[in-house]
Amino acid sequence: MKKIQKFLMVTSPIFFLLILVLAYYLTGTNQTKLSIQSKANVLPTPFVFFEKTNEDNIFNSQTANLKAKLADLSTDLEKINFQDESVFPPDLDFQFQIPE
Amino acid sequence: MGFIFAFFLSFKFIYGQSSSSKTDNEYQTFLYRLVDINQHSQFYLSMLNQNRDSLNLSSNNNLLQALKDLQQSRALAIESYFIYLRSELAKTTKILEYQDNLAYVYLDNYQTEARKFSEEIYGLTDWKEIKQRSLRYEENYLSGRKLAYRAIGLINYKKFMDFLSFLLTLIEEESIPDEENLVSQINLIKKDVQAQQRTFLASVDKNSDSQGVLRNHNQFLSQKKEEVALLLKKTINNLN
Repeated sequence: MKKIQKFLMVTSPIFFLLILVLAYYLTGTNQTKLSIQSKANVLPTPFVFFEKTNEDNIFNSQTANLKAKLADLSTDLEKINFQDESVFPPDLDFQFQIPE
Repeated sequence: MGFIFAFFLSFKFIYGQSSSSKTDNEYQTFLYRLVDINQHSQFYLSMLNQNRDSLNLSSNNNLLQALKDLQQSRALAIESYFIYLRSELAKTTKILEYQDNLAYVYLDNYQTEARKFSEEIYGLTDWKEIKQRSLRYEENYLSGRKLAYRAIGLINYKKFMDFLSFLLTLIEEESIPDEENLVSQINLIKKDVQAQQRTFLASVDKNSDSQGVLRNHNQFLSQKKEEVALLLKKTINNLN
């Protein structure tokens, strides 16, 4: 009898956790899936002119993206200064001015 | 996997940051040392004026010390400068070419020479020896300066070519409408720049006026840069 009690004392928290995990998967996730599916079924099918507008939007966003990239490149090019003479080697005179 | 990727990214970020700040530090060190040289020169001149009447140079320890400090500062400034040029070249060189290798070797040599001179000068006790050694080093530095002009030209060329290659890749990847014959025009500019680079490398260290040769080269690159900027502007306008 004591052995059974001891066994139950040790295993009961594990069972409890298992039940919790099972409950989470069986209730929470499935419910979410079901609710998404039901909402998807309720949503109306889009009209044709919506699809055309989306394509236009995609095209416009691609062009805008391309323009932005080219504008960034122009800015990068402007930053390159080929005529910066501050990086020229120093003109240091090593010769002494002391008489012999 | 995510952790390894994040670690790699952070390492790359930190490494990238440190290498660029290192270059800035080298340049700052160089500028700081130039200021140091000016201060030393003033001290050296005041010592000279004080001792003008009794110019017994070999027995004047203060003057000797001022001379050594001055020469050492100059050499250390030059060493920092060559280190700075080398790191600038490393930043622009994505594909190592023969010319880059040559520039690396020369810049390393002149950097080592400057370090050697700054160490040697400190051990000398006679001002005549200091003078002779300094004159020898000055001749060496004059060749080093030609090399520095060459390296600056190479760095500018590399920067521009990297930019043009990046632009051509972008045009290809994004399939930009080529109404201005952008690709062929950029390729033409590339060829012109390559031809100019060959002329520059052939003449910069042989010509007595290396600085003038570099100025012409930089002017040519600026002109080509303006042409590319105009092409980019036209392409952006065409996209509207």
